[in-house]
Amino acid sequence: MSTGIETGTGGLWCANQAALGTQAATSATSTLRLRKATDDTLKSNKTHGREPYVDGAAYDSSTPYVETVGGDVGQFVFQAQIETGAAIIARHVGVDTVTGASDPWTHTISTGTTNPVYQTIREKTGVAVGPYRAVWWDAIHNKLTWNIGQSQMVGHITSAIQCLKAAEIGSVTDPVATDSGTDPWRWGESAGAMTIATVAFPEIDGETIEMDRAWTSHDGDAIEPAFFVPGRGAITRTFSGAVTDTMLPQLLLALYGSSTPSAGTRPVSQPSFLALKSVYTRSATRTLTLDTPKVEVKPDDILIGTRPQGGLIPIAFGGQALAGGSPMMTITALTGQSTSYIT
Amino acid sequence: MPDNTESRFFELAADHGRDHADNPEPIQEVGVSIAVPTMTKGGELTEVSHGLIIGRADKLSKQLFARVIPDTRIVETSSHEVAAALLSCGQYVEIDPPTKAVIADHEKATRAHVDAMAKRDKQVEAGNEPAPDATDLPAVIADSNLTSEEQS
Repeated sequence: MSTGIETGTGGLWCANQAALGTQAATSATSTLRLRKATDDTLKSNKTHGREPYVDGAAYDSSTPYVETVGGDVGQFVFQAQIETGAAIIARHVGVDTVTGASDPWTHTISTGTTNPVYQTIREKTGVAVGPYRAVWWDAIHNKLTWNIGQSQMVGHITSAIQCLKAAEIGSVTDPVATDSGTDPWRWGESAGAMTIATVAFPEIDGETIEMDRAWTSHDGDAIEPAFFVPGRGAITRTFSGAVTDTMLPQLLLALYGSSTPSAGTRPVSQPSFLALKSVYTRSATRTLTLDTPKVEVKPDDILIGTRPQGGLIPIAFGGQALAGGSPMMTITALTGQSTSYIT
Repeated sequence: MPDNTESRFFELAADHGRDHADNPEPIQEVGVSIAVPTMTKGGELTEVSHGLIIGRADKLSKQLFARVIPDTRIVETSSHEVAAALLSCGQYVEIDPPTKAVIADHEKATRAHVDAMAKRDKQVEAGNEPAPDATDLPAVIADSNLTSEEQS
């Protein structure tokens, strides 16, 4: 008789590495225990290739070989708690200024030229069966996707990982970091604070932010990658909502350069930019602010027309975040953590 | 990484790190990932990052190439890499070496911040100032967060 592995138990942890090539210990103080929220799981990315040859037989018996291990090893999704959401974003961005003299401490994270912080990621699966403990290290949070709204009421961050050392069997000692016990950000905590050009739009029903570093890895003299190849990433932000009396002028502005275009006005040649900002408030001392002061609003996503059955016109409002005298994106988090997320 | 060039000074921009009463908060510490060009075993040039924590210190030294001037919003560094990272992230502006008067102004602002926080803490303890943002939340959300707040 067989016994299935207990997939409902185990854990997922991320820790900062002191340097590339140095795996973070299970006791590392920077370790965060993340609340994994979907079945997405990191993989070894051990891939095979085959080369056929002629041996006189009618059936192929190509020579297999291992192409690579590591590199793009997939993604995981976690609930963004007060202690983990901003911290993982800071490790993706690579800078975090902590200000204040007592709780709450203000963490300011803004995009520039800094590199991501190397990570050691551990996952444990099972209890009586296994447990299977695997480590991905010399890793980075290559692409983060923040997703929250009416269709995703709890804040999710999807982290796509790029790593040099994949699926190593981990220490039998689990990381000491435990779940903070704090609830993740909820969509309702943004009430009245989803703004376009500083004006709140209650009809906004969700937001998505993609922060992509576009790093790859280079394969050298071994099956594991030799080093990271820094890429030129991008940040894309979208508010979802509906066409309403208050949203319509914003849409017209993007298309025509005027919120009240007169008859005969055609779409203007200038692109349109707007500031998108959201603030999630748990209390006066626990907030998360996501600020993108200049977002290209893509007019080709704006479709306004009649519908045979009537009903809502959903709208996706946004595009690529751009620099314009200020960082493309600034994240401000009020937390109880007094140390930088980069440590 | 330290290159022991002349010190440069960077001040946290006015719109970052402000408390509920709009007082500027002093810098506690700065974490920054510094990229350093590195040659691989195969002879290819790449960048390797080093996580650096800039803490409070009274002065720079040969070993300490970046510091936060205590009770201020000013970072001093002798490293080109740190200077470049601080400028690029858009949070800091480069300033002239701060005079005693400038530092005194920062320390005064820090005291105002500490006083404001202490005042609010007392008001909250006395129950005179319910967390304003929590009362603005929908009732269901506010209720469901009570336990979370205690935990956080």
